[in-house]
Amino acid sequence: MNPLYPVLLLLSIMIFLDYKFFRVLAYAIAFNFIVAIISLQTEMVSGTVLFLFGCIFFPLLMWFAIEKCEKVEKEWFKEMVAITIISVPALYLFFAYLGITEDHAMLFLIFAFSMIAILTAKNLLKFLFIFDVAENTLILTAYSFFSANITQNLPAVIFIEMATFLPLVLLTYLTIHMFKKYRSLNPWRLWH
Amino acid sequence: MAALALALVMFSIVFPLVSALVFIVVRKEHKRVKNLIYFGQTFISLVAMAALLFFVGGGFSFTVVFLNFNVTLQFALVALAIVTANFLVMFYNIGHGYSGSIQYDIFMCVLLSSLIGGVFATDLITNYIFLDLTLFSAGYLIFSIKDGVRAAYKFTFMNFLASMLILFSIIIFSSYTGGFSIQPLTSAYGFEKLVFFGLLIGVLTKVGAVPFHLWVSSAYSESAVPVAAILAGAANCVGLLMLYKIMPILQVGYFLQIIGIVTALYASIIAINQHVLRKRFAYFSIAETGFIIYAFSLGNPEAIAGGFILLITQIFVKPVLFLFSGLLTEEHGLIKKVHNFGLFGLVTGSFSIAGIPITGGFLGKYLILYSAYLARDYLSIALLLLASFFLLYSFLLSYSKVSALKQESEPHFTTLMSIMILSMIIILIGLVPIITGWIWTL
Repeated sequence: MNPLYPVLLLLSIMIFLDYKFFRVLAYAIAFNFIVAIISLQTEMVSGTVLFLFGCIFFPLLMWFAIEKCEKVEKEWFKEMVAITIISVPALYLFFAYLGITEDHAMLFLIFAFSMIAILTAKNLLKFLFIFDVAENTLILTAYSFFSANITQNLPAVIFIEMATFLPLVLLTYLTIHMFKKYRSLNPWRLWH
Repeated sequence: MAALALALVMFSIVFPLVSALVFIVVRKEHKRVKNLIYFGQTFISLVAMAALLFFVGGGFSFTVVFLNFNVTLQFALVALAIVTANFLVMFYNIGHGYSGSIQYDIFMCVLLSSLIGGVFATDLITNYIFLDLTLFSAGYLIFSIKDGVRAAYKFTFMNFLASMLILFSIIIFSSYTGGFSIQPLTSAYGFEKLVFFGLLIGVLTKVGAVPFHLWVSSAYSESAVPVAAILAGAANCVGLLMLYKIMPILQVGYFLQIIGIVTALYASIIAINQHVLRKRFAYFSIAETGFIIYAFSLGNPEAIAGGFILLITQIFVKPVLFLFSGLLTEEHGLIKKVHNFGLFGLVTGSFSIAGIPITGGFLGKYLILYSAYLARDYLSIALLLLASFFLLYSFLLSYSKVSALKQESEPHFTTLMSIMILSMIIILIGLVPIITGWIWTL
């Protein structure tokens, strides 16, 4: 297993737990930077595109979103600790039960944890950060599986990156408008 | 012929994107020029798809960069239906002045391009890319009207989650097979069930099947009328086509049959209780999706034929219903005014949804129930007939509410034309297979 994978898991947990959004942004940049480094070790084209999107475009977008609608809710912190303590080992055991012990088990773990984090996060900005973690983990896993004619093909890599990045841009844009309209970032207001 | 097929498909995907660029250049106040571009773009796409269907035919596969496309007669027919519905919705668009903001026009063009790409996409990654482009453009279009932000957020959030599940499944699938071409996975691989359920939940969320339908009613009822018409018809159709394409991977026919029946029955019951007409139409749409899912999961030729007839019919039925709702002025569920002429559209669309002759919906549902009869699935027949009955009851409730109102002003001729042509197409889909004798060859 790549020794950087546990660091990625730790960063994804920190992104979920922290309530200061500029600190969360720093964790997310670190996360994306490590993802880009891992990708660059094997493939120049996909690694560079991941670096561009993950370490430049995404932080700029998120910085803009935080500036527009930062809202800190410290009381959510306790629930998130409980979710993390329960879900991470439970998911690890689940993957072990399924027999996934290969190199990518940790990436699957990060992705599965991100999905639980998305569904339990109580702040729309938090959604966006966890979405980014899930998305970049997926793309890193994808590039490690995809054949050379995809990962060395610049248009192909940009197509895949754009297809996953554009909805995130739209979600960010909508989050800002949600905040403008409802003056709240509580996602549960959406469903009523 | 293969080169011509490639040229026509690529033209239909790229041409709307070029038109989107032209919209950026044309200034907002040049409304006539914009309408002309809009008309030209949708009409040329219509001609291209008609040429593909009638002069080129099917049976071609090709790769562009790394995107794989497959042209079959079924897909060409669906693509022609999509561009025709889009052309008629464009007519309504012009009449009602929705074509106001430049962003709206640009994203309409991107949506059409991604829908055509999604129809012809063959392998998993090409399907994923075009579905995500559809999500991006549709999400913005829902947002584009004044109060659409909540519905747009729901839509984008749930569909983005679904996209990630699909990408996750594609990765595991690719790690097994070494590629993206759709083929069955054997149990020897170990955790192939992750692929099944990841793909299944992802696609079912995108088509709005129960219990993943949470975004549907707000997206269809709170967006602009033309957007709801295209989303419920053409965009839903592309999601259902992907479900059809990935059936060899899924191998969960029985589970899908249950999802299809539950979707049809649940949506038809909930539709009765909806007091806002567009919300009721949204549940009509979910119910129709349930019928199509059931047809594809049965898998025999009659069911597939019925599913495709229903799929093509719904591309026209949903625009008819939503364009009709555009004739009404609704406030908190109270209808203020109505144009009598649109009632023909309401009757045709609702008859098709409820499976009443002589509409395309009747023919599709007849074939589906007949194939269920051949499979000796009597319980499903009873439950689907019950769903149809509830849908008919919902229609009667809507009709009694709407027909009692008086016409207050003359609607725009483009509205009437769009609704009339769409209604005639729904009836033609129901009649042509019977008149030509195609139905008896099954």
